[in-house]
Amino acid sequence: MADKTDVWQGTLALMVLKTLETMGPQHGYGIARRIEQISGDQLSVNYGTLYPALIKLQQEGYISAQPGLSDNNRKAKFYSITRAGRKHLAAEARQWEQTTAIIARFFSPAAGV
Amino acid sequence: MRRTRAFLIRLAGLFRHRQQDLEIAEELEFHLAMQTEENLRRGMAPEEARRRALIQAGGLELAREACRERLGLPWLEVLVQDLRYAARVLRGNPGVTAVVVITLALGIGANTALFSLVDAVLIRSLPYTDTERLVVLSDNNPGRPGRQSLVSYPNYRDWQRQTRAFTEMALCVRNMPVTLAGADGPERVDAGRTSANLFSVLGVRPLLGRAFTAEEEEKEQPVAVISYSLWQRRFAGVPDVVGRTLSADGQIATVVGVMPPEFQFPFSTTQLWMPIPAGIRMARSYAFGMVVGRMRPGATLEQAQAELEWIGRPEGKLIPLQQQITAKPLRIALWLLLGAVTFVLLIGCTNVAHLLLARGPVRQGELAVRIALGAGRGRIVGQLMAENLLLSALASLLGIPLAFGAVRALVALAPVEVPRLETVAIDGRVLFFTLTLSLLCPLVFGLAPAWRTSKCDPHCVLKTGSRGALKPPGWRLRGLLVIGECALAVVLLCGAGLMVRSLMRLNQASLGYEPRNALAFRVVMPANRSLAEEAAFYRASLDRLKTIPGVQRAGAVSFFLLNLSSTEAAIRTGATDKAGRCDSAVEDSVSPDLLVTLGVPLRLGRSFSAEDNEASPPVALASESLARRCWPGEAAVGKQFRFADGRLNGRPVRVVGIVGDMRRTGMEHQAAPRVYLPLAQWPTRGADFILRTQGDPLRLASTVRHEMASLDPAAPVYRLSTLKQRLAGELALQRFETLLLTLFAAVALFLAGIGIYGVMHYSVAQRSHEIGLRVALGASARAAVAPVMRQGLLLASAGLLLGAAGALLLTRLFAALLFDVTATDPVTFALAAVLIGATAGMACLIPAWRAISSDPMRGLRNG
Repeated sequence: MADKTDVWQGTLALMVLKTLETMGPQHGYGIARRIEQISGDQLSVNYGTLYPALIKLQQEGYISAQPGLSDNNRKAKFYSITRAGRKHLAAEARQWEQTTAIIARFFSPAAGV
Repeated sequence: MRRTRAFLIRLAGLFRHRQQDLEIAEELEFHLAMQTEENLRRGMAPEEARRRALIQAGGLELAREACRERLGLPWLEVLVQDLRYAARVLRGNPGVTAVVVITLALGIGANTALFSLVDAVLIRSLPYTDTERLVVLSDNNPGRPGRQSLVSYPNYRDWQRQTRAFTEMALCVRNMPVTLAGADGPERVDAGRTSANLFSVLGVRPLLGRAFTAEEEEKEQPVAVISYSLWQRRFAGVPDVVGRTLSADGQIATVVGVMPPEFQFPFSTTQLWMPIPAGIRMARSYAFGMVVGRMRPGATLEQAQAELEWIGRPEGKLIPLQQQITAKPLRIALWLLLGAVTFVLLIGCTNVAHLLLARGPVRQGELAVRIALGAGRGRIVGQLMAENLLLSALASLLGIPLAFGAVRALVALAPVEVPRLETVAIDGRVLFFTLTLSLLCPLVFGLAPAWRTSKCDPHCVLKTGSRGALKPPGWRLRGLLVIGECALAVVLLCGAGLMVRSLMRLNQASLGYEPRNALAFRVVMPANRSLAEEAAFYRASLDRLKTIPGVQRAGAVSFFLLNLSSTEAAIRTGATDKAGRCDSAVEDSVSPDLLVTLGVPLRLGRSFSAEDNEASPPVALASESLARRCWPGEAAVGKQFRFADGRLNGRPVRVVGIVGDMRRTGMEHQAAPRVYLPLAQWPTRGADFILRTQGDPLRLASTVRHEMASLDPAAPVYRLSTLKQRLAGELALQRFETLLLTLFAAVALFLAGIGIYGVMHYSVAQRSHEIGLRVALGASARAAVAPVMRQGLLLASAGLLLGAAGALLLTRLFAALLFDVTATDPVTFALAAVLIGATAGMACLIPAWRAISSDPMRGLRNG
């Protein structure tokens, strides 16, 4: 069983990628808000976990960073998903779907009879 | 793939700290600012907004730390940090650092040098293709280990036709020396006679030209392949040597190829390869050649072994070529030396461990602070191990130049028969070995002390005035180290002692002849002489030699001393040459005066005289051991025997005298049974001449050469030396091993002594308070020190026993190298015990004496 932090980091990375894929280039704060929003405020994104995750994704080549200007004219780093990132996201999404489908079968009423 | 990319980026990130810090700070600040604005929008006051933002975002410092860690390689940074700190620590203690580095450097250097020797001679495979598939047929005769089983040409051809296990087989007569004539004068060189496919079996291509073809071998055409050194020496390295001719034993041969310099088959002295002469190809019973085969991929040694039936040699053994080239005694000797030098390194490491342990208390203060600040034990151990790693690295750097020097010394001292000696060098493989050593050493000497030192209760250290406990911390480990050192030293001493005794026995062993004041040389006549001419030559040359002033006696014998061409005859003592016992004896053709010249006693009957010549009936002399074997319990004089190979057409040979046994090869434990035939009746093409001289034999060397040259210029004198020199050459390997082993044992003893001294000194110093107290309370100085001494001697004794047990187990591994000494020789073991006991005793006494003679008040104050 993977360490809890790792699992969290792994899913956080996916959420970031999905966010960037949907929203296009975004800065760190925007990604954090968006994730919180989508999760229905169930998750709060700590920037101690978010930014290291962003760095890791950058090092792995799934996202890239450019300087830019935010809505309120502040200098910020904007992240965007790369092609490799898209491929990775697609593969991981498939994996998730498979896993959840299998688990769901165990918990559905028809199973275990 | 992704991980590698990430890793490399992080590696690069190690150098951009400042930039990275700025970026992180900017980004986090931006995040905070956005959050603050959001809060302001929600209606909070500015300070409240900022405060809320900080709480919502999470710990700022932690975030910064986390980002930093992600951007670099934390473990690497920690390591570098530790190493830098370690360097400062080591610099601050130059004395200890120097001692440790030098001790380790000597050990690592010696190990590297010896490993390069072992690597070049034993481990590195021979310079042929796919050496693992090459095998030779060896004699499984335990009486003559390493001797090759020889095969005749027709048997070889049959085998070659039928074999399924081999792709190709070659036959090679190992040595038929030839005399090269030429402008530079006659020179006798070692030459191999081989089948044409030898070079392709081995998988070596000639440097120039080609090997000779099967057709040339069939037709027996005079062609030759020469060695690199021959090409340089006699042809001055000219590029058009292929096609030139040379004169070998009077026959003109054409050079068709030159072999590369590293090709040395079957001996390092082989200079020439020619086809097998037709004369010896015919006889099926004449076994003369060594078979070298390349096994088919997938064929096993057992399958090949089964084929030996076809040549009537089921008792033979196929062994890999690699094993054949390096004889067993040499292999054992080299591994023995490598093991010994490893022991020396281990003892050195033990001493270093002592030193580190002793430094422990000094470091307690600094370590206590670290622990109080939150360092885990692992981190402390890591720091200490970094110091050890640095020490080891420094020692390796110092040890490598030492190794270069040591290698040169080794190569100079090593006997010539060590194969591939010129390839001994410190190359990549050896350096990799050194690297491994330098990484392992810190673990060996450093882990236990580091573990011990890191076990530090900050309270007990920060308290002052702790009186030295009866058993200072770490005493158990120290005790173990002393025991270990003593044990290792004992094993080495026993090993060296055994070798020394063995060598002494070898030197003293009775040879059966007198080697002093004797000059020996060999002469070989050209091939075209008749038997009568050869006999006449020997008579004339012996007469001439006897006239030289200073020569008391002279004789000639077909072969003397160790050689691989000694002939063996099978003799039968029955009525026909097929009946009666069959025994094999070494056969020598000797001139009438030879045995007298050598000082071999005549036991019964008579020796040869001038009357025993071609015309008279065949006679022979038998050595004592032969007489005992073939005619047990009877007087052998007057008995007859026949040669089992059909010589003389089955006519009997009469034994006219019994002579004393001779031990002619250095390590022969028993004299081989010998039969002597008159040179006049059985002349050989070449013979060893032995001259008994008055005074230094070498003074007569040039006169002898001159006389022999004037007698027959076509038969050069070669291998001229004194008998003592020849004997010494045979024992060269023994002496080499013994010298090195003794050197290692001496160093080990010295190091162990120092180690014990260090421990005792430390113990006494630790307990100086207790000792001072005892003296103050009225005990005599001696009684006060006694417990410490007792402990020391007890440890040494434990080490001694352990070492003795270890030695008993280990020395039997090299029993094969010992002559006339058992592997568990009690005298040697006792001597080793005495040496260690004396060393340990002295090492314990000196600190004790100093403690006794010092002021007890000082001890009291010290606590």
